[in-house]
Amino acid sequence: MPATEASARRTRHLRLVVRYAVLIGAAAIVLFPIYITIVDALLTPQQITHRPPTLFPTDPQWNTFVTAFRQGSLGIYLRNSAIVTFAVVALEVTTSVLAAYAFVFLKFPARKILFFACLATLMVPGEATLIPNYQTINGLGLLNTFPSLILPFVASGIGIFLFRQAFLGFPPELRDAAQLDGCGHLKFLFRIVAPINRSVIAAFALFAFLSAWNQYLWPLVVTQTDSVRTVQIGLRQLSGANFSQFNVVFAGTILAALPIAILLLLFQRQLVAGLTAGAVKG
Amino acid sequence: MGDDDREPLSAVGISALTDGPAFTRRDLLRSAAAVGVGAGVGLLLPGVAEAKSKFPIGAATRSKSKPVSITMWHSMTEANLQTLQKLTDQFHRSQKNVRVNLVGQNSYTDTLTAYTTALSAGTSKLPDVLQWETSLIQLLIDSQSVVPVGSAVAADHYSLGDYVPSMLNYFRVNGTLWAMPFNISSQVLYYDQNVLVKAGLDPTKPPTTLNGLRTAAKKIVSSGAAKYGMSLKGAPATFELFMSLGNKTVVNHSNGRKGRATAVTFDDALGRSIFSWWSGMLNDKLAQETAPTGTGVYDNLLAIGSGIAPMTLDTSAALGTILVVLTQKQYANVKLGVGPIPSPGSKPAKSGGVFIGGAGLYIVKKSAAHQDAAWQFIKFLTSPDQQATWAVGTGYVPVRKASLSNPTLSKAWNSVPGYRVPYQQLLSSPVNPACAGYVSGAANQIDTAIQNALAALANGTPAKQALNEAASAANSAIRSYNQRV
Repeated sequence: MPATEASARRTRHLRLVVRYAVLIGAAAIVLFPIYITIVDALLTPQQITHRPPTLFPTDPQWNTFVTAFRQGSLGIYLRNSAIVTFAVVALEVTTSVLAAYAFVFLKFPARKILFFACLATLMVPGEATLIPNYQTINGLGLLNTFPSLILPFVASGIGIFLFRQAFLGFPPELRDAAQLDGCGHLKFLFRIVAPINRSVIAAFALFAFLSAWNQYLWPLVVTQTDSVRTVQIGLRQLSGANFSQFNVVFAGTILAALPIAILLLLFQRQLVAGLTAGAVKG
Repeated sequence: MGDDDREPLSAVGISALTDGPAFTRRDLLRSAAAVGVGAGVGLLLPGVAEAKSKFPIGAATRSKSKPVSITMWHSMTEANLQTLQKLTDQFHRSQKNVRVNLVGQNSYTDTLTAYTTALSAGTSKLPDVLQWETSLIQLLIDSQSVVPVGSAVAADHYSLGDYVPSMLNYFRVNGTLWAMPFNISSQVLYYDQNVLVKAGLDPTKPPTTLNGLRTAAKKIVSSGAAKYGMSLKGAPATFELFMSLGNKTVVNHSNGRKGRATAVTFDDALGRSIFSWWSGMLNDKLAQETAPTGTGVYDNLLAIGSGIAPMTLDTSAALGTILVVLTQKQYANVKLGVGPIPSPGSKPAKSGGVFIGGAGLYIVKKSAAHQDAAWQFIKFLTSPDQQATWAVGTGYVPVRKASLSNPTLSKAWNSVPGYRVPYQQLLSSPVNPACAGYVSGAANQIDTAIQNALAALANGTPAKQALNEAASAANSAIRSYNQRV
C-alpha cells in the first residue's frame, strides 16, 4: 500500500536526519578545540581574555605566526624533528616488514619464542627503558646527536606484530608458486607482499610518524643544544614564554602540529583501509 | 616568572594537539619522581661527608687549559633567560678564566628528569652549575652528586653577611649550606584596590591575618562589590607558608633540618585551624577555588581582572607578568595592590615568618677546576649589582641586601612599591627551623598529598578528615622514600 510505503520512507528519512545530526554534533565537539586554537592564534591577547569570547576573528593577526616562528626558532626545531622523524619511520617500517616476513615465511629455530619476545617488548612502558637506553647511548658516545634520537626507535614490537598478522592472511600457495618461478625472498617481499599490504604499512608508518613527532621526554634527556633539539621541546620553551602572549603560543602549537595534520589528510584513505584491513579478511 | 611558588612559568595553554597521547605533564612528574628516587638516589653508593673535604679554591685559575669551560643547566625562559644571558655575558667580560655554556631545561620538572637520567651515567654528563627548585633540595643531597656551597664559602673565606638570612636558612640542612639562593620569590596577597573601596574597605590596609581575610571577603560579598571575596588556589606552598607564619613545622626533626624527617607534623592544632578556615571560606562562598596546576593556574589572577574575586595569594614572581598584562589596558578597571601574605589567626605573625620559593644554585661534583669555575660563576651571579639587574629584569627578590642601594633597582622599586613586599617579608623572617621551610626527599609526594587535601576541601570533605588523609598519605611517602635511601 502506498500509504505505508510513504511512511516507511519518512521514517527512513527521519533516521537519516537524526543520524547526521548526531554525527555533526560529535564532529563539532571534536573540532571545536582545534577551531578555537586557530581563532585564538589570530586574535590579540586582549581579545583572547575578553568575555564573551570572540569566536570569529574580524581582524586576523597573521603576523602572530611569523612571531611564533621567529621567537620560538621553530625553523631549526621543525627541521630537526623532520630529520629524526623521517629516519625513525623509514627504519622502523623497514625492520618491522623484514622481521614480520621472516616470522611468517621463513622456518627457523625458536621462531615462536622470538616472536613472543618481540611481543613482550609491548608490555614495557617507555619510562622504564629511559635509563638503560640513556646508558647505552652514552656508552656509544652518541649523546646530543641525531643518532641518539633515532636509534632507540628503529625496531618496533607493535610493527612486527601488525605486519605479521597482515602477512599471515597471504595464501602460502602463492609463495610456493613464486618460488617455483625463481622469485627470491627479497623480490617476493618487495614485489608482492609489501605492495599488497601497502595500506597496513602506510597506516603503521603514520602512527610511527605521530609518536616520533610528538616525543618529548627522550629528546629532552639526550639533547643539550638547539642544533639537535626537536620541535616539542622548542614548543615548551615558547609556551614558557609569557602569560600575556597566548596567541603566540597557539600559533606555535599550530605550526608544530601542521605537518601531522597534512600527513593525516594525505594518507586518510590508507589509514582507514589499514585499520579495517583485518576485518574483511576471511 | 612562576605559576606557583615552585615552578617557572610554563605550559601556558599547551593544547591537546601537542600534549598528545604520548606524554602528559602528570606522567612526567610521576616518572620524574620515580626516576629521581630510584636511579638518582638508590643506585649510588653512600659517600664521604662532603663538608669536611677541602674545596679546590683557585683550581680554575691555576688550570693549564684555560678558559675552563663549564655548563649551567637552568629552567629560565623569556625575560628571565635574557637577563641570565646578559649576566653571563657580563661574567665573560669580567674575567678570562671561565666560560659558561647555558643549557635550558624548560622547567624544574624537566631539569629533575634530565638530571636524574644523566646521573645514571655517572657525573661526566652532568652540568657544573645546577639551578634546582628549592623544595627538591633533599633529593639532590641524597644523590651525593653535589658539593656543598658552604665548603667553597669556607675555603674562600667568603662573607655571607650581606645575604638575606632567611634565604640562606632555607639551603642549610644539618648545618651545611648546600646552595646559594638565586631566583627567589615568596607568596604575597594580590588585590584590586578599587573593589576594596567599593566594599567600604581601606585599600591601603589589606588584611594581614586569615581572620581579617575572612572579614574582608564577607564585606566584599555582602556589599555586592564582587561575587567572591577571593580566589583560593590550592597550592601546597600556601598551606606550608601559613604553617611557618604560625611558627610551626611541616615535618618532624625540625622540618627535616636536624635529621632526616620521618613523619609530618602539620596535622596539629594550627594545621586543623588553617584547614577549617580554608574549608569555611569555600563553604560559605566567600572564596572560589582555583587550580594550582594545569591550564587553570592563572585563573585566580584572571579573576581579579574580570572582577569575580578581587583578592588572591600567589607567588611574587608573577608580579612582573601581571604588570605587563595590566599595561595592555584590557583590565583598565583594576588598581593593583600588593600586601604581605596574611598569617593564621587573628593577630599578625610575631614569631613566625615565610620561607622562600624559587631555586638555588648548586655546584656539581666534577673536576677541581670545574668546581672552582662553578663557584666563581655562582659568586658573580649572586653579587649585589648582578642581583639588582636580576631582580629588575625578572621580578625575583634580590638575595643581597646591598642590591637595594643599586640606583636601577631603587628606581624600579619606587615606581612599583609592590616589589618591596616580598623582600620585606623575607628580610623580617626569623632564622629558625619552622621558618626555614621543610626538607624531605619525599617533598613532591608530600606536596601532592597536601594539594589533594586542599582539592578535597573544595569538594566538601570535612577539614579534619582531609587533613588526616593528607598526613597519612604523606607519612607513607616519607617511609617509602626513607627505606630506599
